[in-house]
Order: sequence, then structure tokens, then C-alpha cells
Amino acid sequence: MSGPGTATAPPAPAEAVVRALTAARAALAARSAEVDDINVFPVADGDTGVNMLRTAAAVEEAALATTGLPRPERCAALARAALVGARGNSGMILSQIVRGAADAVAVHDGPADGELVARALRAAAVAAHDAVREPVEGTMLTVARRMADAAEAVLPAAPQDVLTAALDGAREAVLATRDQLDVLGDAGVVDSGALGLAILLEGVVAAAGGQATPVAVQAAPAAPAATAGHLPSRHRYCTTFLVEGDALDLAAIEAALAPVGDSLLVMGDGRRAKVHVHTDAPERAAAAAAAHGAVDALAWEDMRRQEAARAARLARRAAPAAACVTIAVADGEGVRELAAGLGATALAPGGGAEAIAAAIEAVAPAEVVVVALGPDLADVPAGVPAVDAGSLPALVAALVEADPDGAAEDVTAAMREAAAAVTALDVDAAGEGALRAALAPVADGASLVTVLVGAGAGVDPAVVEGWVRAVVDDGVEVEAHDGGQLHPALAVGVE
Amino acid sequence: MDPTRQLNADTTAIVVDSSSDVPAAVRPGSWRVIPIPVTFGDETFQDGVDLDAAGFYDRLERATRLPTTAQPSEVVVEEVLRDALEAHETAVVLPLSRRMSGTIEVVRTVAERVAPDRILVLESGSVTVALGLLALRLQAALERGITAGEATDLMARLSAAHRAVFTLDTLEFLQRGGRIGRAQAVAGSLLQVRPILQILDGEVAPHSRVRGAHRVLPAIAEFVAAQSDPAVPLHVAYAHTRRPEVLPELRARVEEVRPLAVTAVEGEVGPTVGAHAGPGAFVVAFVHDPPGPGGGARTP
Repeated sequence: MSGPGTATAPPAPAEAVVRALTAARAALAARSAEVDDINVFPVADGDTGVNMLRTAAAVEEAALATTGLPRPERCAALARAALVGARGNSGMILSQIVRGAADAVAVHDGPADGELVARALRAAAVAAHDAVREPVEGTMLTVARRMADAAEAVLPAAPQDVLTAALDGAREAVLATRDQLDVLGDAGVVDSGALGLAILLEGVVAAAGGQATPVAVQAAPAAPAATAGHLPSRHRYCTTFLVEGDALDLAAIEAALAPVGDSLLVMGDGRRAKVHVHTDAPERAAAAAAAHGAVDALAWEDMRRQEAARAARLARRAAPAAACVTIAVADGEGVRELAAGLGATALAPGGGAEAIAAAIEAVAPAEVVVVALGPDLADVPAGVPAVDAGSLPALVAALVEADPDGAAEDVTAAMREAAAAVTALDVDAAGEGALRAALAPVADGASLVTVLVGAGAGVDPAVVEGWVRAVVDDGVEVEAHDGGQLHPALAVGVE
Repeated sequence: MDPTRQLNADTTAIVVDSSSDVPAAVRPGSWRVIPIPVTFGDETFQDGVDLDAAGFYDRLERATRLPTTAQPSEVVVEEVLRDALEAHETAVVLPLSRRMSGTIEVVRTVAERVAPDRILVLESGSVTVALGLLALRLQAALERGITAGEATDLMARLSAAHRAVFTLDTLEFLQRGGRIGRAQAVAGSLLQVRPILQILDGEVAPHSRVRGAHRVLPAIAEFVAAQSDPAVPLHVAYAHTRRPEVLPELRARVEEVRPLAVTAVEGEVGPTVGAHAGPGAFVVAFVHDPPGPGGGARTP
């Protein structure tokens, strides 16, 4: 396994700060999927665990890089790393928790005692609360405050005892979130950010030699319906970037970004601000902020993909038996992910007749239609209807017609018709010029353009989407996805 | 009610519930409407009484939690039925499909208690303007005069013959309300796929799905063409949730494939159904007059 949670090498006998932060990150890494799965608030996009983990990993890296620096400089570096590394709503709030704690430690000139721990926790809670425009109870904010309350209540005490008390407070507060937010109660889950924060503290407590019994959640939602009470984001990309300048006006940056999306958070100070926004146009958001300062570290995540992955994870056992199963044989993990999302059984190419026969066997007694292209078609058993898609975009278009209640014969006919309606373009260079040259002659009269971005293309689908929009008329719908196919670099379908 | 009892437009009031979405301007003065409760968090409203469509969708936009609906209380139903009977000898009640709501059970209980000989409760197997359309066809039959038995028979045939096709921006609202049924099969994915759904046997059922907004209206027109007869007048109702601009084109598409289409209702889906459809939905409901008594123009 790779990812932000495991990217950092385990430090050899490390000093206390590194040890605590490494343990915190590791504790969350072990449970981040669990946190993702219960994410329903404020947006049910299933990314809280991963976002908090990335933010925590950034802080850990900074701690490793700053051992030996004087305390104030080191604290400032950690706060900065948290802000720069923050991902997602929960990561943004976590960055403020880190900043609050770091600021408190920076100005402290006494011993690292229990009192300092309590003071840092209080400063963390206050900083997080103040950074959010509309604080909501039953979230990380509540848990941060309850940690500080519980820590202060046991003073005077040794640092590890103060931390243990804070964790007890956190645990209670996490369980109570269910009753504080209706959407959580409806879904039968605790708040995901709150749980993530408690898990991080668990790691810290364990590293400090305190008693850390894991924070247990009763259950992750059993079915997607359990989280359906809350809408996913209206927008596709969870976007973050930095704005740097001499005298940043955070309110003005916020006002400039309000029209481009929602779930907007602008945090930081006059010299460096971190922006988090859910938008369909990440680059337009960055451009809107560029009038206020230098934009850096623009990054975005496809929330639709995160939601789809979670829905698939949660729905796996609830699928009703189909009368007609579509088997898609296609290159590219992303293409197969799209196929699975449309209800097809997706197979990698080159598996031969045996792989297809096994897939058919696995869904018996359902009827089967196989959609494929190229040599794989020869591996479809005799008597099983096969659709030659001809191209990956046509394959995707055909799969929209997959109907689990249909008759194989009708489904086959509908799929052939849908595939035939797609004009496929193979663009072998993943550049705007090449795409434009290929698309321009057929752009007229198009109403839907789909681009599947190949494995070696090295370009984000959101960027490709922008390239296409620049060529086609305003009313044309454009979708670009990671296809992951070996070739072409950009598989374009025009309908 | 005695099946031989004569009903007509002067003596009989039709009672629908607020899910029927017939605009007040189209609704005959004799009709009464049972308000369905719509709840946002800890606030409950009566659809059409203290919450209208505009207020509902404004609230929906701001809500962090989806609204819910419930069946009306016996007290409210009784009030409406008594009001209907005050000015009329008889009432015919057409609640929404029993497969979507327990409202019809509440109505039957109250009718039995209040005046079983004067109230006829009929299963519509329908909802929103499709239900409104059926109620308007029943009203047309009342204008000519029919017996209670014929009204029951007419509604059974209208219910079986009518069709409704609709699309939603998102299936979230249906999922949340637990009213999705087999429509899950057309659920989207990473791709922007729009579901084409229908009301079939009183339930939401999948029809197909399309990719691309430009395919939605053609798919709906195709549905209408496949499910109706070009040689016979077709009664049609259209409604939307927060998409008024789509109705003229929707209507033009239907009239293109069915030149004998007669528009009975054009309007907005109200809070009761809006709570399960969400914004961006639109629906076309249609029915031919069935042959026979009360059925009107069509002869076999």
C-alpha cells in the first residue's frame, strides 16, 4: 500500500514531537477508510479520512525536517505545513487546530508540563472555532473544545495524564455527535471529522505513554441509503490552493471566490492564506483569487469519483439479481471503473475465452451481453451476443444502455445503436494543440464530448475538460475522466 | 356508497390530496384538497396551507437535511371531508397511490366514520399531475353525470391506462424517501447519467437512462409516442420542479409526436412530491379517455 499515510519513513529513536505526530498519523492511516465511510457532513463526499490523513502527514514531515530548530521557529513551521498541506474541509479545520496548538507552544517558555498540554489544546479549540464562519456543533469543533475542557479539569497533572483525560473527553464527544446533528442521527453514524480528530489524539496519547483505548464507532453505515439523507456536493472538484502576498484581505478573497463554488473556506493570515472550495472549475477559482495575491499549490480531487467509490463499497452486498448482465472487456482501470458504475461486470483485456466464460458462469442464470473491442471479441463464446464497440468512448456510450431488466436481444440492439452514434477520435499526444486539431473538424453539431484520459497522458481530466470547452460551443456537455488505457493518450468520443 | 347513486358536477365534490399538483386556476371550485404534512427538521408544514411551492423550494435550497412527508392526520382529513360535504351531497376522494403513501387508508377510516354512504374513496395508482389529470377526467365524467359504480369503474380504467414519464436531476431525494424501488437500476455513476423513470402500477419504476441533457426530451417524447395512440385525443399534464423553462419545449415535443394532445395541466410540482423529486425534475402524464360509460368521446 502506498499513499500519504505511508509515504514517510519510520523515524529511528525520534524526539517527542516527531514520535507523537508519527503515531497520530499512523493511527489515522489505519482507520482512514472507516472515517471516509461515515462522512455525511457537511458534504457527503466520503473523503474526510484521506483529507485529514494528508494534512497530518504534512505536519509530520515538517516535524521531521525541523528537529533541532528553536521552539518558536519549529512551531511556526508546523503551523505553516498544516496550512499548506491542508486538504478538504476537515483538513482545513485540522490545520487551524495545529496552528492554535503550535502558537500556544511557541510563546510558552516554561517546562513541557501538563499545563502546557492543556493550554495548547484550548488554543487549538479556539483557533479552529474562530476560523470557521458558521461553527456547527457536533463536529470536530465540539470535540476539540471537549478535549480542552477535559484536559483542564485534571490539572495539575503529568502531560500523559492530561492527554489521557483529553482523549476520554474526545471519546465521549465523538459519540455525542450523533445526537447533535440530525443528519448524523439519521444515518446512524458519528461525525467523521470528529472521529478522525479523536483517532489522531489516540496516536499522540499512545506515543506519550498514556492510556489509549481505541475510539469505537458503533457501526459504519450498512447501506448507501443510510447516508442518502444528505446530498453530495453540487460541484465536482474539492479544490485547495495557497494565496500569498504582503497584506492579504481574507474577506476579499472569500468574496471573490463565493461565485465559483461552495463549501468555501479561506484560512490563514495576511501573508499566506489557504483556500478550500468545491467547484466545477478549479482553475477559474485560482484565477479569481490571483487578483489578491500569488496563487500556489493548486490541487483538486474529483469528489464524484470519491462518492462513486464509496457508493460501490457500501452497495456491493445490496445488489439485486439481474436478468441481463453486461460484461465489458476494456483496457484501463478508469474505463473499467466507469463500466462498473454503469452496472457492468468489467474485465481487463487479454484474459482470453476462459476469463469471459468464467464471468458468464459467475452470473448464471442471467442472460449475458458482452461489449468489447479488438481481439477480445474473438473470445466471446458462441451464442452469447457480443457488441463490437470499436472504441473506448463508444464502449462507455453502449454501457449506458445496459439494462438489468431487459432482454439480451433488446439490450444488444440498443448498445449497437448507441456505440454507432459515437464518433471516436484517437489523440496520441496529450496536449491541447493535438486535441484541438482532432476535435475542431467534428466539433460542429456535437452535443456531448467524452474524453478518457490515458495512463501515460500525465494530464488531469479537469484540465482536458477545459481544453475541450475552449473548442466546442457553450451548450455542449463535456466530461473527461481518467480512463487509464494504454492508448490512445486521449480517447475522445463525440456524440 | 350505493353504486347506483347518481353523481354529477353540482352534487359531487372531488377531493384530492396536495400531491395532485393541480394549480388553483385549473381546479374546479367544488374540489377540496387534503394537505399533506411536509417536515423540515423540527418544523412541519401543511402543503398548500402554510407552505407553497416557492416557499418550499427556497427552504429546500437552504436545508442541510432533506424534508420528509407523512400521511395526513385523521383530524385534518375529517375537516376536509366535512367541508366538502357541507356544500355537496357526495364526495369522491382520490388520494395518491397506496403504494406510495398510507393516505388512502386514513381517508377510508375517516370516511367510514363520517358518512360512508356519501363518500366514495377510489385508488388512483398515481401521484402529482398524473393524479391531477385523472381527477380532471373524473370531473369531466361528473359534468355528464355518472353513477357511483361507473365512477369506480372509470377510475380503475383510467388508472390502468394512464402513463407518466419523468426525469430527475438526482436520485438522492427518492432514495432518502425510500421510494426508489427498482429505479436504483438506472442510478448514475461517475458519468453524468440522467434517469428516465415512470409511474407504473402506482410505483416509481425505471424506464431507461440517457447520457447528456440533450437526450432527455427526445427520450420522453419517444416514451409518449410508444405508449399512446396518434389517432385519438390525448389528455396531457406537464409539471416541473424549479425548471419552468423546460415546459414549452417539452410540450412542443409531445405535440409534435401527438398532434391530438390536449394540455389539461401545466404547472409546478408542489412540496409533497417535490420533497421526493428535488429540484430539476419534470414530468409528462397522459391518458386517453377509455371507452364506455363515463369514458366520453372514444367509442370502440
